[in-house]
Amino acid sequence: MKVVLRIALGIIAAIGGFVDIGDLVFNTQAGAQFGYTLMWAVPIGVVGIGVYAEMSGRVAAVTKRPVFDVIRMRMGLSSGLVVLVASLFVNLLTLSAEIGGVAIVLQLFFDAPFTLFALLGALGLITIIWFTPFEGIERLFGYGGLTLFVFVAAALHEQPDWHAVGHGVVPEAPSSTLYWYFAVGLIAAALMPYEVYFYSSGGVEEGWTPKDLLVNRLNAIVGYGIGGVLSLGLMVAAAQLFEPAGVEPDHLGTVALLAQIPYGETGLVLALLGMLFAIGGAAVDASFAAAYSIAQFAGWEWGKYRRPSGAPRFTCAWLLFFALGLAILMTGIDPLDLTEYSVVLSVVALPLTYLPVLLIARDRTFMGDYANGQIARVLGWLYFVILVVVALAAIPLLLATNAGGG
Amino acid sequence: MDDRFDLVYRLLDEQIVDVDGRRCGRVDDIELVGAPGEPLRIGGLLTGRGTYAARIPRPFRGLARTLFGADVRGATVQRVPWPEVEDVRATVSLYGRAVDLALGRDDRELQRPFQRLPGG
Amino acid sequence: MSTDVIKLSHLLELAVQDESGRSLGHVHDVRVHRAGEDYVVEGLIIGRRGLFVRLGWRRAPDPAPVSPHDILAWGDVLAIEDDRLIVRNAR
Repeated sequence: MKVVLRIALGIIAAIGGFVDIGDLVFNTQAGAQFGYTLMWAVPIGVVGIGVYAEMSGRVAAVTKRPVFDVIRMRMGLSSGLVVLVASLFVNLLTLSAEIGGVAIVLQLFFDAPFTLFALLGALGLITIIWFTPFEGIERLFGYGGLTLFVFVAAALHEQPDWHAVGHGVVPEAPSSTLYWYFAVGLIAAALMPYEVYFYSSGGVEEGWTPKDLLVNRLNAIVGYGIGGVLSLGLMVAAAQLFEPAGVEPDHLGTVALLAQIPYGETGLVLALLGMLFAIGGAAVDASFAAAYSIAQFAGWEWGKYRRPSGAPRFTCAWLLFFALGLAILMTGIDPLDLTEYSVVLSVVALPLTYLPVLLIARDRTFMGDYANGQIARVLGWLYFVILVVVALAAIPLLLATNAGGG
Repeated sequence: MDDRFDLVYRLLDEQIVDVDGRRCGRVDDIELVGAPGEPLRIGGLLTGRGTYAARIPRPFRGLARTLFGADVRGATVQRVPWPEVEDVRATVSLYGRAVDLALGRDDRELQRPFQRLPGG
Repeated sequence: MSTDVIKLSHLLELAVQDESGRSLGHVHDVRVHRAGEDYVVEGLIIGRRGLFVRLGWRRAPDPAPVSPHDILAWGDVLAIEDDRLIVRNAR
């Protein structure tokens, strides 16, 4: 019974941890500009990360190899190095965007300059990471993120036009470049690679064995699946409240309005707290994902469980990433612009890290009986094709739409 | 360890772990001893960023040397004699400790400053 | 010649040619087997350098690894030069 409770708590934390600033930005803007017509893109992204996470979690449980160990082993040093550098680059942009998001939300609570909150936010996160054990961090940010369900409540509160929602499940045929840019962005925002590096490394940290494969599958399916409901909630709420009024949510404060309009001050506070925890949690995950990647690739000691002195270079790596993320923000770049770039560029790099994991997951020499079964095989390859298509379309769409500026 | 295996497929780029379970580098290169016409045997494993330049394609080798450093034995590259290797499975396990083989030195040197910090 | 040290990284970047100068590809892998306390090189796995190999792709798993034609016995290696490996002509 205790085990079931632990597993459930883990999944609940995963649900709350699903959303990050990329999802907040893309889902609300998609709803505001295109109503319900982009809803189909969210399940595609959610199933995608479920597939990628399940495979990488299974590989971690059976072979004890997290993603960048797989990459170094399968691709060798020079090709692996290219993938590492590309991953670190997009990871850094993402981390910077998340820190920026934390600062913006803090500004909505208190009045102080952005740069001060960026610095305080980063220091606060670093302190939490330093003194809190691994599981505690995930619980803290995961449960806090659950308050984002206020957006789902808001979406249902206004009683959406279910007929239009039904139409939104299928892509619109004659549609603009901007429409497809948002489709790419929505899929990319759900499929952020740092989340999978973090997840597979966490599996190794927690000492997963084949006995944990069920937990892995539940995390991937239930955790991310229900997390995807949060994304849809954002889009549907925006479709109802922003689209008719022609409001463009180009500030996180506007996003919070979606909860304030139906629920007043309570809704606003819940929304802001949810955003703070979700974005903060994402910043932690992104910084660790970068440190995991470097340390695993190079062969250093790594892991939160080792304590900072037990894995010094690993610790320096995530501290350095926080510093670099802050430095990028200090250039004055708009965090929401940064978010869009980080999401779109992440999906471009994604096939490079997805394919090695897929190839290991299906490899009986490494996985034995736990190699990809029928479903995983089909979905695994299907998503590789989807990712390649999305990756190829991403940059042209980014340029053609001027990063969603139209 | 299997009686027969392939170096690139099974040994190169694998994680090295010492007797205490500490991760202390990867198999970045392998030294083979012998010559054409004589038996060629595994002499030792090489680990460290100083090996990177030799593994990177020639056009980028100069850049790699600038970024990662040249091969300086004892500094940027450490050699693990083959008899020190206990087993080759998912990781390469050693009979001895990292400190005795001069592996993972950077982690050891940074350990003390971190231990002095609260929560470190 | 007394004992020489050859790095695996060096072997992997060499073009393989036979005595007549015919190109046979590149070294993809090195097979070793146990001989007492040592592990001794029994052969080199040669292949064309296709796109996947250029991208750094490692071979697929090997129950029955590669065809006999693709393994060059170490005994057939005549010389290792800076940029190429010279092997005996196939019989």
